[in-house]
Amino acid sequence: MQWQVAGESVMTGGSSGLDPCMVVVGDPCSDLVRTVVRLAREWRVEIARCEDVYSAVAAAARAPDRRVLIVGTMREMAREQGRFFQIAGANGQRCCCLVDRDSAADPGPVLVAVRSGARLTADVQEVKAILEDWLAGGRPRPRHSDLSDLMEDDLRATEAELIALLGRPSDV
Amino acid sequence: MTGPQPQGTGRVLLIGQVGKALLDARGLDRRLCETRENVLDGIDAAARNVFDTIGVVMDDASSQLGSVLRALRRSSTARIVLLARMYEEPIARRLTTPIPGEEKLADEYCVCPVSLATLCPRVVQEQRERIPSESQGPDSRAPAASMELERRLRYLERLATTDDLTGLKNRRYIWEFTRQILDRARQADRRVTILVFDIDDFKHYNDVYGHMAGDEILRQAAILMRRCCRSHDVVGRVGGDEFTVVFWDDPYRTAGEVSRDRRSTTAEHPTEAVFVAKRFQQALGNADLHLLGPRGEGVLTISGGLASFPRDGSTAEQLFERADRALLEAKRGGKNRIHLVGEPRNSIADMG
Repeated sequence: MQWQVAGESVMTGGSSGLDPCMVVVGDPCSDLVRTVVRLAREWRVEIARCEDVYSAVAAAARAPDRRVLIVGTMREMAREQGRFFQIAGANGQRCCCLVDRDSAADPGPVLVAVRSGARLTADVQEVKAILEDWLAGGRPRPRHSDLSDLMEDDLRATEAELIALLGRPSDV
Repeated sequence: MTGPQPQGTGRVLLIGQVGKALLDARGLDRRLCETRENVLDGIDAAARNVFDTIGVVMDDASSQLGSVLRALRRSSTARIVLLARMYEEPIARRLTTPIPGEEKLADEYCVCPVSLATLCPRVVQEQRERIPSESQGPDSRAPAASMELERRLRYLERLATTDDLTGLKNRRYIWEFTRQILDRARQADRRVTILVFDIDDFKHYNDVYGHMAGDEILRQAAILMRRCCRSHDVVGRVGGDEFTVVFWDDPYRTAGEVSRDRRSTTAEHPTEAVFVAKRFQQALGNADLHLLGPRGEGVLTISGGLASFPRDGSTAEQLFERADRALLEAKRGGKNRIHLVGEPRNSIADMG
């Protein structure tokens, strides 16, 4: 795991005044990681590449005063009973999670991710839109510790995403 | 980004099920000693705070231990101590042994249960210093008492599990280790293989050259076998001239480590075990056993029997019984060979 500036300068997104940076988790050869690294390079956003969720926790923890987006597959990020999502949520960090058919079969980690405020998608191509949305949004995520702290908009959005992914109503 | 923090705080972070690993977990001072049950919480805490020592309970890290330790190394400059169960000791030893050109993933290891005083004496010292001397009651002697208790425990443990003559593990340890590693293998769908071997005609050498020479043969055989095995295989002397090796899958090996170790390229334990036995036979043949006189070199041979879990048995008793039976067949078949249990026609690996 290594932090690197993917370009000549770091883009500061939104109006929060906090420098954005990304952590991408997963196989360096995967479509997801290559896509995110390419986008970070295009946008000149600092990025840390991590092969597993353990080094991702370390990378995210070393950016305490930054606006952090962590991108990875549900398979990798759901390790250790999905604790990663809770740590990121408690630290006000945003997660974007690629859910494949296998990981969607087990709703447990998906629910933990949603409850922690993660954005879910089933398509690598949609990651770009999520990243743009995050980069443009200046409002830092509130640090919350449970479901009641989530904003209503967040809840509606994540519930809609969950239903779209799993194809059935959820109990979120 | 904040970089690695300087040391010197005396603070300790313990990651995992600490209650099972420490003798004195109840007395933890939370200001100096933090605990995290989940490894991800532990890595997060290590990256955000300054610690002198990080203790990692190996059992809770499972097969991801390598990744966990690498993340901790990158997050903190603290000394990393592994808290190992008995069956994890070979792995702990390997992870704390420096390999040229490679990052050492942990600095030390302790076999559980361990006292906090041993793990982090500075924490205990600071705890004592904060208590005014006039108010120190019987509890103030607790750290020293737990260190002494642990020292005695280690001494007794060594006596109970080590073969005095060769320094290898003894029969008691080998059996207990085999039971524990089989439990783990059943849960994790892994293989375990037992090799039982003895030195051919050992009684003859004992009778002709004397018991001192016999003892020296056993000591040399122990040293050579230890060298021929992988670091995590467990070698023991289980009887007079009878030895056992427990071969098992190391769940913490990285892909790089596996590819570097050509002995690991074979998929089946028996083949791997026969390879080790052949290396041992070769080493024994080249050993300079001057006690056997000028004609002593190259005369020593071994016979052995191999049995594997789950193919040949599911319990330690079954595996040892079958490996012993295979050893007898090897003896009847002319010695200097290894018999494999469970193969079609009971195939023989002739080592001559």
